[in-house]
Amino acid sequence: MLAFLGRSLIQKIITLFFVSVISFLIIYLAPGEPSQIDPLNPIFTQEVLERFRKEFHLDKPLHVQYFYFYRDLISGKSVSWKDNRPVLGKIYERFLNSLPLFILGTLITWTLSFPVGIHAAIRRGSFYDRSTTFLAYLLISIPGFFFAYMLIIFVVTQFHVPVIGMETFGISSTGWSWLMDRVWHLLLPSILFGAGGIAVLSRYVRNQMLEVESQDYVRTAKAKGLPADKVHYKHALRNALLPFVTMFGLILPGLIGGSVIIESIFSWPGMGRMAYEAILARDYPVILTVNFISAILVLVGTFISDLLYMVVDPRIRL
Amino acid sequence: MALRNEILLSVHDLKVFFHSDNTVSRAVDGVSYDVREGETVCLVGESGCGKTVSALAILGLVPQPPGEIPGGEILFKGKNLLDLDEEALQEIRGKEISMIFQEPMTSLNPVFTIGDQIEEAITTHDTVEKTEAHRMTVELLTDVGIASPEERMRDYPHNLSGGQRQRVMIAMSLACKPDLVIADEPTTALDVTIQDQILHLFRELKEKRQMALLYITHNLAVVAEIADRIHVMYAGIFAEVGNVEQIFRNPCHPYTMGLLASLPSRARKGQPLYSIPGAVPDPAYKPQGCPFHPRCPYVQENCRREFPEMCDFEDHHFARCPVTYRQRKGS
Amino acid sequence: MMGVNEKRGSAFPEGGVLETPKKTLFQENWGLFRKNRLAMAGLMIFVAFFIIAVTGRVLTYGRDPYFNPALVRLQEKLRPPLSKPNLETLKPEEVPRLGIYLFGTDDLGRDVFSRMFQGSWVSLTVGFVAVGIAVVIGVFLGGIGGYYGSSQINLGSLLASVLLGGGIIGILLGGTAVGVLMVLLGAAVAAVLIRMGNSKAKRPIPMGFSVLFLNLFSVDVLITGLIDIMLCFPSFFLILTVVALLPASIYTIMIVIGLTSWMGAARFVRAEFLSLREQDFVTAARALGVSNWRIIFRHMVPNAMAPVLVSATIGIATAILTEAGLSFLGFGVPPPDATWGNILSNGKNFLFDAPWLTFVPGVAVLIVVLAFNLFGEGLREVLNPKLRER
Repeated sequence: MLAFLGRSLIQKIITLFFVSVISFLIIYLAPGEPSQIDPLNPIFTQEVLERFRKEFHLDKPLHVQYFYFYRDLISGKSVSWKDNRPVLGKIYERFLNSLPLFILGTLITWTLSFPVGIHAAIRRGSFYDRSTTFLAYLLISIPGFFFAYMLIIFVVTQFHVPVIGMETFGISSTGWSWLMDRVWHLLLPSILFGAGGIAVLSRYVRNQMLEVESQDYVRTAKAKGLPADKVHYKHALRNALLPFVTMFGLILPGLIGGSVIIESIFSWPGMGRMAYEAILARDYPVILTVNFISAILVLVGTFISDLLYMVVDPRIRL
Repeated sequence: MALRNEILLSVHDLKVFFHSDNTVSRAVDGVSYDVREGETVCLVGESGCGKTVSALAILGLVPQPPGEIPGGEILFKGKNLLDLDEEALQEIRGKEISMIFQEPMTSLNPVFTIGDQIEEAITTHDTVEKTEAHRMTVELLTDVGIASPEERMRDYPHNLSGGQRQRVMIAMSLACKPDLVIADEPTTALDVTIQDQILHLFRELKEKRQMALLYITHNLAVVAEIADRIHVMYAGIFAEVGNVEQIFRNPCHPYTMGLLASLPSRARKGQPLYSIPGAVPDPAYKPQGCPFHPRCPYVQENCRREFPEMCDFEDHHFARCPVTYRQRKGS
Repeated sequence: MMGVNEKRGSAFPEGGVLETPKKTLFQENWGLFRKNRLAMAGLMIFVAFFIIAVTGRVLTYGRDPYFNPALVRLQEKLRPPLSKPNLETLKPEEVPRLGIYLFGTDDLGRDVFSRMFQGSWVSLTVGFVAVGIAVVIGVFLGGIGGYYGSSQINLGSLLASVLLGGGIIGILLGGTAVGVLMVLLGAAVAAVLIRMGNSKAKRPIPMGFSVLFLNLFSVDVLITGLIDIMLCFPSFFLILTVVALLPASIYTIMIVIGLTSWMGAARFVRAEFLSLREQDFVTAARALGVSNWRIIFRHMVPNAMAPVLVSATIGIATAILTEAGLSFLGFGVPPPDATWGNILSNGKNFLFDAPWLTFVPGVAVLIVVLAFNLFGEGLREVLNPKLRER
């Protein structure tokens, strides 16, 4: 057990190191320099440029830059090139904005996917199965931004509520109407956030369930004389659920990625939008930090899912 | 000797077909047999001849679709099982008829303990206290020869060996003291030494519990050890029916003769082992006439055209071969 | 017992022995596939889309294209679909070919139908080229990981490849002196390795050089490590970053999508190879002295292709969606070339005044992506016996 944890930890640290090197190289080897953000801007005189380069160690060799950058990142000292604010503080602020979106979206995905997928599998080939299958494909295939605009047109014309942003601009009311305003603004992006997830996850649940239903032990359970509900929901489902435990760990990376497109459409000041703005402004510290944190989350997520798997599957004991 | 007892299960002209694309596979094509109380009946045949499907049909476990049971009846204690609805069948499964499957490795649910799975079989049909179910489980496991049953009950299937798992499956099938146990090749997946132990266990349990056993196997050596009556199955029909003595001493169907000739114990030293030429026909494309005729050494013109009748050779010994019948009786 | 044979075998030849009809694997799979109506619809849309995209390439590019997607008619801007052009204000060569604006016009009065026609070629090529790149990389790396997984990489070869690779990159980036030095060093190490390795191992390897043969880790560790590293990147964000930093071009997008989406194929191939390697036909081939490359390409790759084919089909759908998303955010194919994504991106400014600018490309992307997904899933069901209807 401890050996597994240790090995896994070392492996993940090595992976993280390579991720940091690669993302650093991608950004720094791309043509163009951050100091050339806007050559026409009169503020950027040669002198300012030089100071800028010096301040951010851009005049040093690449490996020294790499070292400085990640030292600053880990000690929390790196600042955004755009507004000189600490990167971590900036990310934290945006993270809080993305959080409700993420939580509601994930809840929608996980609460709906399982019943839909399981029922589709049990009634394989029925009208229910075929229609949910088609619906899932439709949701997977629809471009997120197109779906978003359709929903916006629908909500705005039918309910006459504004949905762009986190709250209606300049709203001054408090209490109930303020809450409703926030909820309306939260609802659409969350649905969009969850919709794609439902489509993928419910299909996965269905296939997993079908796979398990064809196993010998399900036949044994039937031959014991168990009622159909017990066969499906106890014997089959318990086995079908095993892989999904691992997916709990994999939700974690979604925490930071957010959705660039959804947040841009809804002018939602979250993580995804910040990352998008950082890319536009070539704000390297922010881009790299977002990348680095999300890599950490992926690794932590897989680590958690490995641990969870060991807990739920009696066959795995280390 | 066993013929004195009451008839427990009576299968009449059972047919099970499977539909796929444009073809119909006649997996079981009209078989009839009786199982009496306390009797051991064997279905013997090569893989793909319809043995397993005919057993699954008894418990209503043939997946429909693509399966279809277009005809026949399965009378169990006078009730036709084919007419029962799902709920009534659940009452019978495990309680009055239970089944042991071929693959002990995959037939137990990997995420529940042995104890849980056996106790579940008990509590599904009988309302008993938890402690009582536990006690009964320990007893069952002791009966099937599992050492330190209390500890094993807390184990998961993957902790046990194949032979132990099959013992657990047997214990589970005995949980509600069924009148009939169907064993579908219970020893095929096991090592030869373990096979022998399990066979002994079956004989012992039968003596002790007075239950009927429908034993399905492709292994004639096994049959000789435990069967009261033998049904040799070929391509969804019975080729020959009789008791051990009749089948082994006086086989009347060329298929049975071939099977016996290919037993290693019957081979003479220095002679190559006999094997029946050809292969079992695809159940969707059976030959016309006698299904065995393409492989039969005694084939006659008529065999290719007419489906052979069941011929009564002697006391309860039947074979579906008019050619041998004429030979033996006519001359 | 009589009566069993009443209906028996009426269609069969008298007394004949009936063989199971022989079907090739393809015929059998095709028969199964045809029964899946959704997947068949997907295939047909796929074929239609292919034809449209290729004709679009012919009819909308060039100096004087048949359908001109870039022709600006400011006096005819934001006309709804199916509206007739106002012939009085247009020069004869500005009149749309179809006589009407089938899908309307955009804010510059450009014919949306022509632009969609042109965009179909972009979507098609982005999908195919990106996935082609991903599949080639994935099959190659996955195959090596699965087949040579257990062989070890020694310090020498690692050193040689790092020096050679780093040197070439160095030269390309302008550090010529250092680059050339590294390449020379790398070549020297490689030469030492080859010489020592070939010397029949009779002579003891001289001191100092033996360190080069120190085994570090297995090939499989390298490949799975690489896959793990790639999976750590938030993929859309990574694509967005790279596309934003590099000069905007359709080829950049294809290559970047391809380089960031090969992991699935690599994993499938690796897993498949690991199990195929243990199978008897491979052992038999090896026992017959068939060379490794021949075993891989003749015996193993065809067997491992099924899951790759499925993931490739679905990968095309994903690539088309990604390209549309990039165009939507303004990082796609640079104007004036039209893509479905940038028509949509442009249309969002007129969401309520000219909804067709959103709906036409949106529905087009939806239909094509849906077709690929359905086709891919149909393939998966046919090729994976476990999912087949039993």
